Amino acid sequence: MLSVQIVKTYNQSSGKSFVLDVDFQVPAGITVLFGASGSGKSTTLHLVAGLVEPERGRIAVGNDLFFDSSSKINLPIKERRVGYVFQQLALFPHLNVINNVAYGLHKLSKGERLQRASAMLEAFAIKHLAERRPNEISGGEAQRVALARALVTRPRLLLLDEPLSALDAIIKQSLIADLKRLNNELNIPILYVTHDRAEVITLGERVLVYSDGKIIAQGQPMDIFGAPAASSVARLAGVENILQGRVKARHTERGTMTCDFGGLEMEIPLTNAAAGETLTVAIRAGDILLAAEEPRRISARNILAGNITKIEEQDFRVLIEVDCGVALRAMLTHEARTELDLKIGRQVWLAIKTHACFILDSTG
Amino acid sequence: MLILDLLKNIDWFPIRLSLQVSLIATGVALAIGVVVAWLLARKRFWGKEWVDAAVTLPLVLPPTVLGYYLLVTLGSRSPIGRAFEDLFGFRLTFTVTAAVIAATIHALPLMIKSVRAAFEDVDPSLENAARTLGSSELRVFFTITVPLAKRAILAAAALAFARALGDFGVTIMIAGNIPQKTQTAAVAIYDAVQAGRDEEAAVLAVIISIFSVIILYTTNRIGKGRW
Repeated sequence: MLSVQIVKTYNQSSGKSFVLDVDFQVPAGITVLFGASGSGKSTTLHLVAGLVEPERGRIAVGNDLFFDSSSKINLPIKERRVGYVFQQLALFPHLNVINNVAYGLHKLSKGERLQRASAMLEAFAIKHLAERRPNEISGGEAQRVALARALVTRPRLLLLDEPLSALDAIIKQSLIADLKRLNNELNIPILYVTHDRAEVITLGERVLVYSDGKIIAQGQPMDIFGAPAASSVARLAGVENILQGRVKARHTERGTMTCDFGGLEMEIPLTNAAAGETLTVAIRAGDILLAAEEPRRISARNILAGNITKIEEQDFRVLIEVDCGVALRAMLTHEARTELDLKIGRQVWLAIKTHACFILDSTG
Repeated sequence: MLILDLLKNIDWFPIRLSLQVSLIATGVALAIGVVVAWLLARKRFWGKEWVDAAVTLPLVLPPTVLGYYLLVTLGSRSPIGRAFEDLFGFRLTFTVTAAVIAATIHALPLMIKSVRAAFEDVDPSLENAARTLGSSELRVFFTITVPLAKRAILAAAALAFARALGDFGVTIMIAGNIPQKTQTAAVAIYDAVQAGRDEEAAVLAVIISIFSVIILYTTNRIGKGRW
């Protein structure tokens, strides 16, 4: 169990100050710190590792206190036994791979040191790289070396700062599998910083959503991203459609209400918002069905006709923008797009279930 | 066989003295320079800008002015000079020790400037990585910072040696021009020209030039990573 309650103020050159003020407790397993850059995720790692000292607060792993401002405890970095993988990996350029990995074992005898380091290289399937320098290996290999170096000292906490950001999709997948396997073996808290929501969904057992130095949401990734409660979370989570609308009529008997989005009416779940009140609704592009002909006898309550205005190809999917009075975006596979023969200007129909519309905190 | 005769007749003492003095001065400047450069590159402390200005001052002050200050500070009438005399039983000024001090002061600013730049070039996250791997500050310094700045430090040492070899103004002010005692090559050349011993001056000048060219070549090789 890692428990963190810290406050740290940074005076920025602009004259404004940035305040990091977070309070969380996480058990063993992967916890993702998610948020935009500059929201305080990496700073949290620095503070936990001891590279920066908080103004006040308390940091503890299990019963071991790292920092406690009330009892003036500040354990030196070298005694915290924290495994840290830096964003740029920070492999020592003047040492070969095996000596990089063995660096943290300096208290052991030379024989033992090399033995443990090479066992670690074997576990990461990089033993053949032992004699190479960091500039002679690939990005994915360097990533494994950095992980091996951080784990060989048997840390009681692992900190990963955007470890996969520089890698291509295929290498990412294999490293994510490695991380999941490691997580099962290690049974220690792992803090994983990222701004990529795909990584949050594939890796995280828990996610802490950061915004401007604070944690604005926490829980399981699917709960947080599936039904975001605040529009700032929704925007961070990459919900593609966020609409402002006004309640037109309430249908308490059906548990729905009709909402006008300025040229477009939809049926959304009932809340206690009164008629005439404005609210914000989020719809994920993946939750919108796209049909090439007008759908009939379908359960979705909202069938909207419109013309395609934009087609944006991404890695494994296509984002289609349709003008239904208001621009809405739907997510499709490349296959579906080819089969439906979608082109800009073509008329299509969007089907949106009532409960695919999430009503966000109007204050959020 | 004119050259051989010249080399045979020349008094090698100033050359030997210059090399010895410069070697010791480089060592002292290296020790002081690396520590001060590290403090300036990595630490924040009160008066840092003043320390920075103070170590750069010898670079802009006329050497005779610098020598004059040292003479006043270290001379037998000053507290420091007297303390030295009481402690070691001989005067500080107009000795070989004074020549070493002169050469060190002359070499130090360049040494600190280039080593500081080299330390600042070392990515702090490498040092942080070493810390999280259980290293003390001393181990971080000797296993990460210094190895990564090694080339620049060696190049700075070579340049410092050249500066030490070339000092004239500070040396003549505090070590004087005592033949067979404190007369370094740079001073001996001046002395030879003044006394009209043109041949001797020319030979000394050529020898010092050869040394300087060798040092420059070495520095460039180190800087380009060829050694």
